[in-house]
Amino acid sequence: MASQQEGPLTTSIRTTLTELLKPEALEIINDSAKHAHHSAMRGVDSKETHFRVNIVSEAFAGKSTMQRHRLIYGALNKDFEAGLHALSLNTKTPTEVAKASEA
Amino acid sequence: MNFLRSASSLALRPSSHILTRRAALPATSFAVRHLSDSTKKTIEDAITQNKLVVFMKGTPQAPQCGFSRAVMQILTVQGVDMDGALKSFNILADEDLRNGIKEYSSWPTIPQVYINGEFVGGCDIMLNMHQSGDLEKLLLKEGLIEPEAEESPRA
Repeated sequence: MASQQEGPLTTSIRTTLTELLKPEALEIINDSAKHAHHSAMRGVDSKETHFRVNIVSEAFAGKSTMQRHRLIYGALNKDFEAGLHALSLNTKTPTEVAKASEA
Repeated sequence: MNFLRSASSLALRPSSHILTRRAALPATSFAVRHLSDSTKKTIEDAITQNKLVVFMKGTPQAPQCGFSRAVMQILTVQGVDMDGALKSFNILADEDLRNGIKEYSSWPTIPQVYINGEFVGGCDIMLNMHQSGDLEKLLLKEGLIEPEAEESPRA
């Protein structure tokens, strides 16, 4: 199971996304343990490979999902080079979150 | 859909900070040139000759990763002919393709879905489009699924 203490890659992701997007909400969930067995992870010791990121930011306004994901992937390039393997992204604007909670 | 069209042009114009990093770091990931002419041709032939191409881990029958499995499940639920209409590549069996497709799409993760030659996205985007109804519209437009009689008066 993922440890309670935040690893260096998690901290790096958090710092980068906070600077880039000034998010209203940012949740980073380390799912690496769930994927540790899969074949692509053979020989990988890192406990920080798979993450879910839920992020709410005004910076996403007017952007398609593809553009939002590219924005994040581009910013996290160095983290992919450092062993980040998979990111599951949930990207919303504050307006979209408000709409979803009304519905 | 504008973002579908923008994928290939974006690939040619990476943002400036990525360019800087490319210059500074040794060859370790998708950002560095892995894409040989032959791999590029394999990819281009695949996506121009097939309406629906998925670059994935494992095979449609035996996906080797939960994200690849999810994409197969979405396409199955949508009613795509998984034996006839889907062309899939197991990137675990081809290291050149594995690195090449990341660079080709300018997208660091697998699976990757191409429809009618355009990069559509990975698992999250497929799931979002599935839930919003956009995926069904796109698959219908490209003739990858048949309209349901009761839902489509024009059929």
